[in-house]
Amino acid sequence: MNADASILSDAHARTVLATMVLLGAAAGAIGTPLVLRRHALLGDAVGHATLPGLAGASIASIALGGSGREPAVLLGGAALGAAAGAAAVWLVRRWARTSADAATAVSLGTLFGLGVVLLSALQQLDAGHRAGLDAYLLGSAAGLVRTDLWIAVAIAVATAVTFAVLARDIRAATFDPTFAQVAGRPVRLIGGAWALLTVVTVVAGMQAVGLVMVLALLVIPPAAARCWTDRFMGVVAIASAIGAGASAAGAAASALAPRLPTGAMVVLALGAAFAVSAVRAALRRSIGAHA
Amino acid sequence: MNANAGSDAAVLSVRGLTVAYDGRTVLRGVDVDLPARALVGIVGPNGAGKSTLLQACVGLVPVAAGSVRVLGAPFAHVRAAVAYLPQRERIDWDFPIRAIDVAAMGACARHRRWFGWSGRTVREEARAALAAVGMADLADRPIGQLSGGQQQRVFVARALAQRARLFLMDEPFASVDAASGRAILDALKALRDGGATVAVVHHDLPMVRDHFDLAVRVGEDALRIGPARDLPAPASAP
Amino acid sequence: MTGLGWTAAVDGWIVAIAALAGIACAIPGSFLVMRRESMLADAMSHGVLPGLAAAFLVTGSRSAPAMTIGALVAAVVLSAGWRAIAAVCRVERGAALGIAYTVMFAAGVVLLVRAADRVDLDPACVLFGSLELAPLDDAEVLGTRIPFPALLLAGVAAANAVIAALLWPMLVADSFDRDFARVAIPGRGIAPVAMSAMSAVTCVACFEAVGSILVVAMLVTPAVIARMLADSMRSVVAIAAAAGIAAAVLGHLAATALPRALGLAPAGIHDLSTAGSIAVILGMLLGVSVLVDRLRRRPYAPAA
Repeated sequence: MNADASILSDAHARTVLATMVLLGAAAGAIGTPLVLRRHALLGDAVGHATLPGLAGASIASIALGGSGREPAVLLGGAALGAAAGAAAVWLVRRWARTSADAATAVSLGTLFGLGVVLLSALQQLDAGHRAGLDAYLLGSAAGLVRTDLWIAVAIAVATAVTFAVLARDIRAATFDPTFAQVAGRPVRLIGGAWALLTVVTVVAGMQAVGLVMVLALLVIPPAAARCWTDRFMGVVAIASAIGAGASAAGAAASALAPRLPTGAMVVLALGAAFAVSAVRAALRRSIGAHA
Repeated sequence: MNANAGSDAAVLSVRGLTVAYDGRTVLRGVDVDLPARALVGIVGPNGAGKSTLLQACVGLVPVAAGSVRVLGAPFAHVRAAVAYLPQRERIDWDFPIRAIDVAAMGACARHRRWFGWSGRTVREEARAALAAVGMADLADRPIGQLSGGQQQRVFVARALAQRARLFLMDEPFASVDAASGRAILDALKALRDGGATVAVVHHDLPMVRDHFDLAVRVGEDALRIGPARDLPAPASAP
Repeated sequence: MTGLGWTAAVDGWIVAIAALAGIACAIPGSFLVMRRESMLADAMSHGVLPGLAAAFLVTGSRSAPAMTIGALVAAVVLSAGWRAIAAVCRVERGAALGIAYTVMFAAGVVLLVRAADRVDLDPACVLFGSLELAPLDDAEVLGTRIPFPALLLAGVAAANAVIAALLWPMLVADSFDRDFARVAIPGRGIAPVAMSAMSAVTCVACFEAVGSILVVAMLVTPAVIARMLADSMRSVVAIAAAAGIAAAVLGHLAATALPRALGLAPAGIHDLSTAGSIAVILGMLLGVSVLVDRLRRRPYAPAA
């Protein structure tokens, strides 16, 4: 299992920290409408859907004479898989006339199954290959490089710009999409933009914290932020802050104890933040009830 | 406590009821008594707390203060005597269930038979209840294939099958066509004639005024009960 | 089936075990879908990790009984935990599930790192599981050797059937109209507990027998297929079981026959993952049933 290398150059450590903080902040903001729209686990399906993309891209690379391990190829495949995951959830929900959670589970199960099938083929093509893909399962912050930092910056900027420009429309689409659509707001556009942002964040975050735990970055900060405020942009802002803070804490903890995977430390930090927020909200409510 | 002999004894008795959630007080220290053998309309503006009142009576929302007594006892002791019909929005209409199965739930509640297979008695009583609302030939239809009015009639049939003393219905006339509305009203009147107390949240003031016995006007601080025909005409504000 | 190279002893049992998983999953899966708790399966597959890791740490080995107990304990903690989060923190159930299982998974990963010192294990292996290895583990029953996973799944299927038969009216009423159930059914609280118990036990049994990949697909997709074709919960459960069995057969068929059919043998690919194939086949069956549903969509009943 990959863990942060115990010998981290200063520059490298800064890169890792900056990347994770930016991704944490962006994910917290992007996850807010998902959680408030009661579709928190979309990130789960998108994350799992990267597997067929990864394996498929690797196979394609080998078939075309490559090594099957080129990072650009793998990430491209992951992105395609993630996009397919988001699309699948939408399609299943419409065609099978079923609830969001069932559509998410069906997409996740089918696409992940496809990923496992492709993986089994890949392992026969190139023995021992799965070791490379394991890094995406549990994440490896130590493997983050400058390029990843630029990607994280791009995602953070794109998220900030989207919110700055479309805040009211996003809020309307989140709380009352039918009304907003009738009122002429670009609900479909926002839905599509969100699918894109989710896909990009999942693929970027996957490298650092793994495809299972990237969901936590999307879901836990908004849920915790919800305990502090009722105002939409307030939740977004606090979620970003919690995401950034927990990512920093996790990166730092992992640097201090190199054998503990970064992803796990970040999620545990998020869990702690949620626990504090939940306790505070529960106390406030019980005090309020007696007022 | 048998409320049959003294018809003055209240079937539903609310005292000092205070209900609050999400930091908002919905009902504050309200009182009301509902007698037996009465068709009662519960009216008021949106958000006044009509649904909350019903939910508090059946224990679905926490009560901050006050009490609710059904036939003189706390609700939990007389569960079988109360039939509750929730609002339409809370139902998943795509659920794979037929009209007869929904009505049968009411019969199961009456017989308290929730374990094992429901017997023939339950089926027959369910069919009878569906017949009482004119839905006998659609008994085997999945509810997703029924119109809004038909669906509501099925739910009323479920309540009928419970053979309760107190019926609390939250907007049974919502999304209902005229024919279904008449069928439901007739069924409610039949219940009332049989001695039950039927309390219904409803928005159609003329119907309440013309067909109901009593009307309860819900405001945050008070419940005002009076003869239904005394309800103000629609032009004036409540 | 000579061209496939199937042997009754191995392939027959693989199909049987997968089919039994489908049967065992039919009842809990159908109700999970109706109650909108489909994602519980995926949450379970990750949330049991701390239980497995703890079992490794405590016993210092990979003993199956210890792992099963560890997984069950973790499953119970997850079931109770996500409901508590949803209730106390006013978060919707998807978010509550996500919070609970990711935190438990992270804790499991940390424990696993500690356990890796003592036990030789590969975390990905723990997570992926393998259906093809299932028949190797067997026990003697009534004079024949039956693979242990088959016995386990048959037992779970039987237990689910008994529980469901006993609680059927309450489960259906509670799944369809929870407010009515809370008001009209004394002791209605049994319903969610029974559901959680059935789901947890079925998930853990399936992890043991067919690996964690297949559990989400086997619990949810058959029920979604059945829901489109059925009029009552009884039919949903029956169709779900049938879909699971069909997928088990077709899935293993595809996994063993496809490489040869596609001419992949020269590249070194001889067979594919059966569990993954079954999951993909289930998705395809869903596609077929969507078509069937579209073609025969029944008209609305006219207003009486």
